[in-house]
Amino acid sequence: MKIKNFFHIRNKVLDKEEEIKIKFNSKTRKALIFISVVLFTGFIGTYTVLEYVHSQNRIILATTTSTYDSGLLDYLLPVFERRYKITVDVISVGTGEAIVAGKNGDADVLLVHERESEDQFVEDDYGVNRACVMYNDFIIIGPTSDTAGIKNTNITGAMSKLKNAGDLGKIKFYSRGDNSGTHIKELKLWKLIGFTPDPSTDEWYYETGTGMGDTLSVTNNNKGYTLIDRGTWLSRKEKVNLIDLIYGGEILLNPYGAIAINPDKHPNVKYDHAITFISFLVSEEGQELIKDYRKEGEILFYPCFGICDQTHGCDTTNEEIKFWKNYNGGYESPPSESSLITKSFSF
Amino acid sequence: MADELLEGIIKAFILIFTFDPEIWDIMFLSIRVSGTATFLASLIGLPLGSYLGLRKFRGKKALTNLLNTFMGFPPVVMGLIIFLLLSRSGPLGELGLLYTTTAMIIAQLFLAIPIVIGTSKAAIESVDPALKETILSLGSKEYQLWWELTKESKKSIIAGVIVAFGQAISEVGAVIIVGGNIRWHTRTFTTAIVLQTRMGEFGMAIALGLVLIIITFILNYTLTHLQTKKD
Amino acid sequence: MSLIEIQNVSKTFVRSNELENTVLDEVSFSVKKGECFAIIGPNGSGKTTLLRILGLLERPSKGNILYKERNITNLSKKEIVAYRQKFSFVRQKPVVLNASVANNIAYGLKIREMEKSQIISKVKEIIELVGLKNKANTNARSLSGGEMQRVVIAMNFILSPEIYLLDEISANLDPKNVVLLENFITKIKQDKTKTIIISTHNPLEAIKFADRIGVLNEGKLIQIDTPEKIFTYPKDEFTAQFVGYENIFNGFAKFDQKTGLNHVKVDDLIVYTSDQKEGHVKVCIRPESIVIAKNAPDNTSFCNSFKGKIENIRDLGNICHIFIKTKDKKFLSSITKESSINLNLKPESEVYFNFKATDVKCL
Repeated sequence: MKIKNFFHIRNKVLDKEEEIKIKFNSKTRKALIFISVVLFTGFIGTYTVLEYVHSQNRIILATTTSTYDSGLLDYLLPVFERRYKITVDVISVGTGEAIVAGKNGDADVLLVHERESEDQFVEDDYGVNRACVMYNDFIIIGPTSDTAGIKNTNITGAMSKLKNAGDLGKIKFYSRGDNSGTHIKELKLWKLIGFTPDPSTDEWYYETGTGMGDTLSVTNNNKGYTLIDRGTWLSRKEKVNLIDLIYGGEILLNPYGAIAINPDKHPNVKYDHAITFISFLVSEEGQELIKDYRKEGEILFYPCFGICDQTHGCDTTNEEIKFWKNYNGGYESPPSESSLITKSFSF
Repeated sequence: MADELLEGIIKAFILIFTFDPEIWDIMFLSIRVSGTATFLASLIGLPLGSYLGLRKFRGKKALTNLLNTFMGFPPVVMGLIIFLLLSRSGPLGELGLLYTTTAMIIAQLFLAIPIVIGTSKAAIESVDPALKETILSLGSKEYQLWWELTKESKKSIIAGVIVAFGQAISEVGAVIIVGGNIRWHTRTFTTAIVLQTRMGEFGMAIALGLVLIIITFILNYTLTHLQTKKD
Repeated sequence: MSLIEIQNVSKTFVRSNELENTVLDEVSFSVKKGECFAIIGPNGSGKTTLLRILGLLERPSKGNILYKERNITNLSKKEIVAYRQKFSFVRQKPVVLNASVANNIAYGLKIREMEKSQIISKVKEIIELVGLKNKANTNARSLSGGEMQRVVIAMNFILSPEIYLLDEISANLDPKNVVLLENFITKIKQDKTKTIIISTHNPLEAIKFADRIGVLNEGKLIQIDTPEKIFTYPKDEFTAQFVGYENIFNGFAKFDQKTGLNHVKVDDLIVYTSDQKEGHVKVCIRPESIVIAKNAPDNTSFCNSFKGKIENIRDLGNICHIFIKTKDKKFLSSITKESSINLNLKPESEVYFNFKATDVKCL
C-alpha cells in the first residue's frame, strides 16, 4: 500500500536524515537500578551489622557533663581500652539522667558526683560495688568588681551576702537548675543560711537548666555569680571576665563515685567489664593518671581511693576498700597526697 | 569575645585543611545517618506517597491533614518517643539499640517519612489532570500511569527528598537523646557543635558549623536549581 | 446493531456548599459502526462532558452506556482499561508527554507491549503522515499548538482505535492547521470500520463530516437528524438560530384560501409561507434567502416583497451582510459582494428585499 502523505505537504528534506530515536526501558537500565538499590542496602546492612557487633562488646559509661567536659575521660579511656581491649562509650548527661540510665539498664557503669543519690542507688539495689574514685572542689565565682563583696568571707557569710545583695537588686546569681551534682551542692549551700531560692519570686536568681559550660557563658555575659566545679573553671577561666572568690572548706568538696549496675536487675549489662573498668580507675595506674591530668598546669581531680574518709569525711567503708584492693593488688592512694589536699582546702 | 571568635575561626580553618580525623569521622557519620534515614524513607515513602496522590478515596482530606501534621512533628519529641521505646526498660529494650547509630537512623527515618510521603503525594497531585486523563485514555494500566506521572513530577519529588535530607542532617534534639553523642560513634555535626560550644571549644564548633553550612548550601542550591529550571 | 449507545444519561456535578450543576439531562442516542456523528451546541452545553462519558473518563450520574449492547457504565478499573483501548479521545487543547515527538507517538504502543521493531516502523510511518518527520526527536512540549495537536492525533491514530472521540479539536487552531485536521478526519472516514464522534460549536464543520448530528443545548439533546434535516427543519428557535437562521420573528399564522398559502401576521407585515403551521408561530428566514433589488419585482415568484432602508453593510470578503430596516423590524440579508457592488448599495439607500414562501420556516 502506498503511503500517501495526509496533508499534501512536502516534507523538508534535510541534508542528512536524522534517525528517529525511541526510548525503551532497556534491561540494562533496570539492572542498573536494581544493582544500586542492592548496593545501598548492602552498605546499610554492613554498617548495621558492624554496629551490632560493636554494641555487643562495649560498655556504656554514664557520666555528668562537667566530668566529661573536663576532658579527663578522653585522656583516661584510651589507656584503658588499649590495655583491656574493652570499648567504653561515654554518654555525658545530667546527674539525674545518668542515674536514670543506670536504673533502666541503659548504662553499664556510672561515674557521678552526688553521694546521696549514689547511696540511694546502691540501697535500691540498682547498683553494686561502689567505689570512691576522686574528688575536686567547687568554687563560687563572680564579677571582677565583686559587687556583693564576698571575697575573704567564710562560706555561710558569703551566701548571706549574696542573698542580701540579690534582694537589693545589686547582683544576679545563676544556678544550673538541672538536678546535677553541682546544682544539688548549690542548694545545700543555700540551706546553710536556711534559704530555698525560688526563681519565680527571687528575681535575682536564675536557673539556666543547662550544663556547666553554658551556665558559665551566661554568668559571664551578665556579670553574675555562680557555683562552678574547678575542672570547668580551669579550662575556661582565661576566656571569661570573672574571678574565683570563695573556695576551700569541706563543704565545697566534690567527691566522685563509680558504680556498676546490678546484673541481677538487668542481666544485659556487662558486669564483668564494668568491674574491670572501675578497678582500673582505682588502681595505681588509674589513680596516677587522674593525678597527672592537668589543665593550665593545675590538677583538676584528686585521686582519693581508700583515703577519702580521712580527706573529707566521705563514708567510704572498709568493705569497699577491701573489695577493690582485692582487685587491684592492694593499691591505696598514698596518704601524703591527702595532707597536701587538706592544706589547700583549709578555710 | 571577639578575639575568641577570631581564634575560633582560625582554628577552624586549620582543622578543616589539615583533614583533622575527628571532623572527618563526624562528617562521614552525619552523612551516613541522615543519608540512610532519607534513603529508607524514600524507599517506603515515594511509592506510598505517589500512590496516594493518584487515587481518590474517602477520607483523603483527613489523611492529608494528618500527613501535614506529621511533617511538622517536633523532632525532639520523636527522639523522646524512640528513646522510651528503645530503652532497656522499654518495650523494645531487648534489641539493645539505644545509643547506637541505628537508633538515630530510626528517629530520623520517622521524621523523614511523612515529608517524603507528603511531597511526593503533592507532586503527583499537581500534575495537570488533563495529562493524567490523556495517559489513561491511551489505555494505560494503573502502574503505567503511576510511572509516567512520577516521571512528569520527578523534579518536585526529588526536591522533597532533598528537603527531607536537609531536615535530617540539621536535626539535633532527637539524635542527641537516642544517640548519646558518643565520641567516634554517635556524634554528628549538630551534636558535636552542642558539645564543643558547651566546652568553650569554639574552634572545633565553628569548623563543624562551617562544613555543615557548606553542605546545606549545596543542598539548597540543588533544590533551587531543580525548582526553577524550565522543562 | 449500534456500536455505542447511551441511554438516559444525566450528569450532575456537586460543588462544595451543596451547589449542584446539572450538565447533562436525560441524553440518549446511538451511533452505528462506521458512522460519523457530530454533537453540536454552544459553549457550556455539555458537549465535552458527553464526550468524556463516552470515553469512559467520567461516570454518568444516571443512565447507561452500552457498547455492542453490553452495559459498560459501571466497570471495574481493570475492565475499563480494556475498553479504553478501543476508544481514542482527543481533546481541545493538546496535551503531550514531556518527551520527544517520536516517544510520544510510540507511547500507546509501548504500554500495549508491542514488539520493539514493530513500534519503530509504525512510528516512522505515522510521523511521516502527520508531517513531523523533521521534528521527530524534538521535545513535543516545545512545539506550536498546531504541531502539538498533530502529535496527539498521531499518538491516537497509531493505535487504530475503533472509535474516535474528537472534542472540538479545531477550536484553538489557526485556519491552516484546521485544514490539516479536516484532511485527517476525511482520511479516517475513508475506512468504513472506523466510527467517529466529534463535538463542535461550529455547525458548518458538523455539516461537512457528519452522517448525523445531535444538537445539545443546556444539557438536553434537542434534535438528532441528518445534517440536511437539521438545517432545513430545525426543531426549535435555539436550533434554528444556532444553525444560521438569523431572521426570526413572532407572528400569527392562518391559512389563506385565496393564495393557497399560510399568511403570518408579523406586526404590520404579512409574510407568506408554504409552512402549514397555524396559530402563534415563529417565522424563520435564512439571510441567504433574502434577495435585494432596487426596484419592486415584476414577476410574482417572490411572494414576499418588502421595502426598507439599508441600515448597515458588513463586508465579509466574498459576501456582504446587509442589515435592512423596515418600520420596526430588522432583516439580515446575505448577498455576494459582486451583487452588492452591482446594486450600488449604501447605507440609507432604499431597497426592496424579497424572499420566497418556501424559504420561510415556521416553528
